[in-house]
Amino acid sequence: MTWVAWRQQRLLTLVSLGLVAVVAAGMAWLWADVSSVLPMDLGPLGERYSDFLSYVPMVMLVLPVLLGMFAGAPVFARELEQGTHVFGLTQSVGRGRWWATKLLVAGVPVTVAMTLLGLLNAKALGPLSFIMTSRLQTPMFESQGIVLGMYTAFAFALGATAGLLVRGTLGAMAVTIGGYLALLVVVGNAARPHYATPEFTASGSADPGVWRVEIGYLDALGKPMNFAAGDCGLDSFPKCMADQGIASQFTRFHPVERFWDFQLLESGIFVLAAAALLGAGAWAVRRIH
Amino acid sequence: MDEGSAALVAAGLGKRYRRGWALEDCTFTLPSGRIAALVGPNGAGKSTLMSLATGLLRPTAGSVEVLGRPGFLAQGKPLYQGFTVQEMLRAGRMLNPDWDDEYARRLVDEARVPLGARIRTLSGGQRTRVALAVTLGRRPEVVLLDEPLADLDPLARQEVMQALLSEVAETGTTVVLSSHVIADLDGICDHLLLLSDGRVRLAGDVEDLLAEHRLLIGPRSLEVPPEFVVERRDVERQSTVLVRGLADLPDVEVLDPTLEELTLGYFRAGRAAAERGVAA
Repeated sequence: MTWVAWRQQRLLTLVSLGLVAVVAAGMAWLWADVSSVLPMDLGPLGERYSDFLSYVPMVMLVLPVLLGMFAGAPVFARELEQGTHVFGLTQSVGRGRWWATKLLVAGVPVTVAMTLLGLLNAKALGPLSFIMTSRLQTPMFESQGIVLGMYTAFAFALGATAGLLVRGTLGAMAVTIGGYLALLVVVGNAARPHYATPEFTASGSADPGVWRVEIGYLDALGKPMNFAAGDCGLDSFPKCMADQGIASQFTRFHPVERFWDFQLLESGIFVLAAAALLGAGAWAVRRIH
Repeated sequence: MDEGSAALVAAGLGKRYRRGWALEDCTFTLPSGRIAALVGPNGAGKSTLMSLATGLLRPTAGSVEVLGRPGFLAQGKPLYQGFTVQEMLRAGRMLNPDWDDEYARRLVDEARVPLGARIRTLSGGQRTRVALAVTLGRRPEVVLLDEPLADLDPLARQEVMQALLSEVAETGTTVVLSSHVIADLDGICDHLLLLSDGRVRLAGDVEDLLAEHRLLIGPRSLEVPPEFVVERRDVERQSTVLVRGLADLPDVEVLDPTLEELTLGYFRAGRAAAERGVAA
């Protein structure tokens, strides 16, 4: 069964791996280049790489869902469209093995490749993590580390299972892109800020690279209060703040050291989601005919 | 395989889809070592029965069992389009521990299909021969072929049937062949299973069935005891009546029906019964 599954998926897998390899080559060049110029002041460093870095998150956000659509969605959908699943399911191979082998052969290479790319990105982007947003924050968080591989595993499982359920490649692709974006946005906005309790500082400043999740104002007693900027009229802001009773600013933030903890937690969410999808697929495969 | 034992047994078999019963209360036994025709109009439940027998579908009611190693050629002959013929044979080998590679290759050679050709470039006849080789390569004891001759030209039909028959004659394999074109099966099948509207209307040895039936042609006033009538058609002044178990009637032309006349009579009777059922 392994050979058959590989022969069926061969072209898509090789194209997928080729695509990841091209992106990886670009990131390896970045890593080498960054390593050669360090140490360097933050200003010139930012100037040197800001153009390049503006493209990196775009590519990294798109890659997992692209692989889910083109390597994952057709795994079962194309067979169901062409009727060849009937051939596979009426040989001396059980349904469960047919399903699992196809998933593993198609899914493992792209997941492994993207995990490696994510680790390479973490190396290359690590010294640059204060140029764009913090590396804990969208879109730099999604562009590096082990989450890349787990996003890919999720998008792949979504595409493959959608193919079993909607029985068409185009429909499965549409479900993949919709489902992936939905989970990514929801997790990034609703879940990620709460992976840990933010640290608090009343000084108003924090190290570069931290993720500020909340900035606010305190009165003289240290109680949080609102600043009504609209009421200031022609007064300067510092005077206006003082008039309103604001004594200081505070910041709640996640220190950059939490990067790998956050990566693990977010990976766990996507692995669980992928496992749920595979469970649905294991149920669906018993019903196809 | 000993003559007279069963190759396929169905008991109270039924399958319901969302739109209704595709197959209902089917009980029959197909003897082994025979070539059985599974006939019925489109939508009679032939493919559903095949899919149930191969385990592709699960029955809603009853059971069906293939006794012996099965081989199945599905409708439309699904093969991996991007594979070469050689790779398709390799797939057969990889997916079946009891694969006979030499035999499968011989079948492809005999069909003069080049091993390096891609499946999608083959003609309908070649495709069918490759599909047949992949099906028979498992050395099945019971072969189920779902509309294997559809989409073939007459010459290819004949060649495919010849190839199939010479193989099963040698090995004593049981063949179940579905078709809605009766002419393809006449003179080839020795057992008949007739489905109409999801029910078994007729089952048995073809020779026995033909011997039991008569076609009566007479005036419209012709009176036939209704218990013998399978189907009656009245056209202008003439009536044609298909009867079962009635030896003779006076003043009537009595003919032996052909297999096609016999099955068409049952198809029409089945449809008429279904229409009455809907009206009632």
